[in-house]
Amino acid sequence: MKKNAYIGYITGGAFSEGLTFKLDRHIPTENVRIGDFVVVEGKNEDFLCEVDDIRLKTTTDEVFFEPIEEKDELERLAVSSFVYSEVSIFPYVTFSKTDSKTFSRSVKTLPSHFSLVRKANDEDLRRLIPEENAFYIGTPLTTNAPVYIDLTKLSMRNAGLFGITGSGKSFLARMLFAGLIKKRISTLLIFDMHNEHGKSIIDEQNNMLVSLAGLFPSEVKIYDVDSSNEDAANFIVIPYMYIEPEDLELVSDLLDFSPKSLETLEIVALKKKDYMHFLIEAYPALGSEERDRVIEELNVNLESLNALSRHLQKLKRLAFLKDSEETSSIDSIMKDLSHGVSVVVQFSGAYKDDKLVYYLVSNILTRRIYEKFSNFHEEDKNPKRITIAVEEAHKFLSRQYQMKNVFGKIAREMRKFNVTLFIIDQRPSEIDPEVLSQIGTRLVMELKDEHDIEAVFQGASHSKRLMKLLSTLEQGQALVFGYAVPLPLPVNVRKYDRNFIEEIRTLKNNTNPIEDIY
Amino acid sequence: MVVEKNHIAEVVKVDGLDIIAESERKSAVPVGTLLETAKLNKIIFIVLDDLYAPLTPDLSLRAYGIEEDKLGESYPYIDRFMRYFLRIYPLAEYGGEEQFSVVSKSPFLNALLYEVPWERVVAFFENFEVIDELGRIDKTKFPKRNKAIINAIKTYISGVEESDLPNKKRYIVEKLSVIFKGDYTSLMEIVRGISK
Repeated sequence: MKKNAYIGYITGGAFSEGLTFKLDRHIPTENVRIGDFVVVEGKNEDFLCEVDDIRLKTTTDEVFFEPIEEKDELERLAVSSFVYSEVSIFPYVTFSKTDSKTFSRSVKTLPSHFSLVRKANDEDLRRLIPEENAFYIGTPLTTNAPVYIDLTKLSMRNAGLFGITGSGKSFLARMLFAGLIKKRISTLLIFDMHNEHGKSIIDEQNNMLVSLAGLFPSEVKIYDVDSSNEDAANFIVIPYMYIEPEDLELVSDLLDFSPKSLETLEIVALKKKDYMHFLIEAYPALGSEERDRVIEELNVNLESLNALSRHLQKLKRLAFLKDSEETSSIDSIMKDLSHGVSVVVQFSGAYKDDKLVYYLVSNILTRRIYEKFSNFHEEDKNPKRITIAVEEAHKFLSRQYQMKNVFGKIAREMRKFNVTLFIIDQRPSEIDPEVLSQIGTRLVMELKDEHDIEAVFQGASHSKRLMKLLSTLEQGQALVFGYAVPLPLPVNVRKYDRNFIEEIRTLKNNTNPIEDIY
Repeated sequence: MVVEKNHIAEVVKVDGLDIIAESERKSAVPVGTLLETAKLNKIIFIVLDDLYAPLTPDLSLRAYGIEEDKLGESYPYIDRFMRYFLRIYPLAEYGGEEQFSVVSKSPFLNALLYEVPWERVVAFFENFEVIDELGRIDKTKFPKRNKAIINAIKTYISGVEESDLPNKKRYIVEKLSVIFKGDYTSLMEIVRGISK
């Protein structure tokens, strides 16, 4: 290491607060950025740290009374002994100095005064995650060294990807999905609300790029609720009998239910096994006398029952809902997932961006899968890992619904069955805190709302530090922290482009795919 | 004893760092002039102040009853009755071949002082250890210290090639900024002084 590669030396610190170093006078303060990775070279260990804060300091107030002529190089040089920059850094992991093949360890001590500080290099970042699990997701904010995430760990617990519209969530999600499929770490069930993970997508430069199903034709199948989708291998059919009151409660606002309607629904569902057929098909056909008899039988209010039946007529336009017991596509999805084939559920044609359909279908399918998988895996000694990716997750996981809702159950209970959630959302503040606390790895992109920012860091260690870091992120950048990374990683997310696709494809033809990624 | 003709002054008082030399020339020697003794190890001094004293105790210029600027016209030999002293400060010892070290001894009384040749001035300023001595001069005892340092540095850079001048200035300012890290006002005075 050349001497001039050092950017400063340690001047102080505490285990709980982190370290401070004095920035070398020849390095402009603007060259250091919040979130930069630096390495403090201790005697026995190197400490990988992240820049927390930068402070402009002076040794005397005299400098303010006799300020320098900024353009005068000599005056600037002279004043450099009186004004300096102090950088706060936090050590997250250490590396052994003697054994360069070992990976990072947690910090248990601190480097001494005057330990030299340098910017982290490729080698340092490589030592964060074992190579066989590492997946290249981007670069640090100010350098081009690759940054990796541990995909195995990512899939072992629930993960959350948060960011406002346009922050780049879909591109990052697609890359991670591609990695999970490619490395055969997890089988995915993706509820693809905006049809972004099918055969192809159009990028920001209007280039057509292959998406997951295009990239992995034999490992990813598309299911669609609309039969017009030519890319779909199968179409979703859901019998009325698969719909439960919980599903309708989730979309009660979109069906214009009143509280009374929900109450009536619960009573009808309790008393009539085929309540959906009854409310949508049979009841509207009844005459007034028959209706009176039904009212008496069910012990519900006539007006409420009328209103409920009327509201449910909106479901008649959904052609994939069938008033029959014909074979459901859910079985086919289950079979595919069991064989390690990932499934992308799309919402095309008339159902594109239809939230009612999206919430209803996602909830029904996931519940069936939850039921089957929780039983299935009880006997399976080597269960396959399933990751369910869901957009607009706050709807399913809100305080109001998550206790009863299947996504809430998966978030809380299903890790032991190797089923985890990959939540994609722009309003994390609306997700129940109990569910948020079950998220192992969080990938946070640009967020503006204070409540969302607070929510996303709930329960995280160093949350104040991370909030400060997040405030500096721009479009296409993400802060990754939690189980899948040994320290919070602010990254410039790499682009989902032809290079990425080529890299994944090359990997595909290799007999040892893990080696090929590097 | 053979007295060398080109000496500038002679040490007449040594009391710790209070060292006085009497100038032979009876004309002003600028503060910042670097002087050295003749023998090895030569001691290099910087002139920090000067003072005139009448030969006759208690005799002041006013005693002549004429204006100061016309004194020389009326009394052309007046300087024969005045003594001209330099307050000097030891900066380094010079052992030849650009070997400088910090001062470890006092000069002999009556030691003769010569102007330091420019080449040695350069060598002095480019010696990291001894240049620090400039920062140890007590400004309260030697109020013209900063002016003296400016003049000494100007001497140093006076013979430098034009193309090399910015580098030399940067070097010396960087060094001074460390030496005077506790005295911002002095540092800026010196830096602005040598920039002019």
